[in-house]
Amino acid sequence: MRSAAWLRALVFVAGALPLLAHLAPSTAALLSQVFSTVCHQRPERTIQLLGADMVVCSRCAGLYAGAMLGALWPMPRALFARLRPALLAVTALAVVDVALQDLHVLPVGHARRLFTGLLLGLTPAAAMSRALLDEARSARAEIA
Amino acid sequence: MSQGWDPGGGQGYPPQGGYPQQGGYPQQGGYAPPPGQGYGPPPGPGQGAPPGGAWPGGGAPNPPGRGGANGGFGRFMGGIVVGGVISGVLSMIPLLNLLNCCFCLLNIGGVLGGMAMHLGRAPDDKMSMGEAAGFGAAAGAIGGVVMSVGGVVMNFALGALLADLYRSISPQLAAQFGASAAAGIFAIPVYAVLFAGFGALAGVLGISVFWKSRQAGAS
Repeated sequence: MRSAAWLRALVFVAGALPLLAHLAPSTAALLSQVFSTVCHQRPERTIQLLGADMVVCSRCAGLYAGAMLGALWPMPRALFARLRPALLAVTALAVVDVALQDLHVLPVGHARRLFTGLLLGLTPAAAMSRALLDEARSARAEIA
Repeated sequence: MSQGWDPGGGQGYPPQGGYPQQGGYPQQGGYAPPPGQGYGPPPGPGQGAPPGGAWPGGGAPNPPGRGGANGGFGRFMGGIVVGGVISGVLSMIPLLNLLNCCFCLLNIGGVLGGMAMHLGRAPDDKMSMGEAAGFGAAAGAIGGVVMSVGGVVMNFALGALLADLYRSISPQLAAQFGASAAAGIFAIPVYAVLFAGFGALAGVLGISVFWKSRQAGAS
C-alpha cells in the first residue's frame, strides 16, 4: 500500500522535472543537459514558460504534464476496463501526428503536440494510479 | 532454470511437509538436511514445479503481490537487473541513444525486455499491474544509473585523453569540458528518477498491452 503511494509520487516527480527548471532557475542548465538525452529540444518545437524556453519540446512537455496529472488522477473504471484499446489509440494518435507533421502535411502546432503528448502520458499514468488504488483497496479488504 | 518456475529468486522450495520449524520434520535434537541436499527443490522437472508443470489449484503457487517465499517482489530481481542494464547500456550508445527522444523508447524497450525475460523464465507466474509498475520503476532506475554513471566514466576517460589537446586549443574549453563532466555526477539522481518514472509507465504498458494474459486478475 505504501509502495503504491511511492510509485505514484515517483511518476509525479518525474513528470514535474521539466517544470523544476522554471521554478528553480539554478537547476535549468543541469536539467537542460539531462533532457537533451531524451528530447531533441529544437527551439521551433519548444514552448516558452514564464519567459524562458522549456527544457523539452512541446510534445514532451505534454507527455510529462500528462504523467504528472495521471499520477494524481486515477482513470475512471469504465475506461480502465478498455485500457488496451485506449493505449493503442493514444499511441496511434501521436504517431500519426508525428508523421503528418514531419511529412509537412500539417504545420508544427504546439497545441496539437501538447494534446497528443498529454494523452500519451496521461493514459498509462492514470491507469497505473487506478490499478494501484484498486490493488491497495482489495489488499485492505483481505486484511479486514 | 529454463523450465518450471523459479521460486523466491532461487531460494529453493520447501519440501511438501514444510520447513522443520513448521512441523514437517521431527523436532527432537533438531533436524539437519540430508548431506549434500539442503532444503533445495525436490527432484523432478523444472525448479520445484510438480510433474507435468501444473500446480494444484492452477496458476502460481502464491498469488502475486502477497509476499511469502514465492510471491514476493524479489522474484522479479533477475528481470529487473537485466531490464535496467539493457536500458542503460543501449542509452549509452551514441546515435542509438537518439531513440530515447522518441518517448524514452530505449528505456521502455529495456523494461519490456526484462519483463519478457522474467515471464519467459516463469511461465506460471502472473504479475499484477502494480507489480508491473514497480518492476518498470526499479528497472528504469537501474537503467538511469547505468547510463549516467557510464556517461560520467566515459566523459572522464575521454577528458583525460583529450586534456592536453583541449588545453592547447583553449584553457577555457578545457575548463568547460571539465565542468560538464562534473555536472554529470549531479545528473545521476535526476536520470534515475526520470527513467524510473518512465519505466513505471512502461511496466503498465507491457502488462496491459503485450502480456495481458499474464496479468494477475485479468480474465
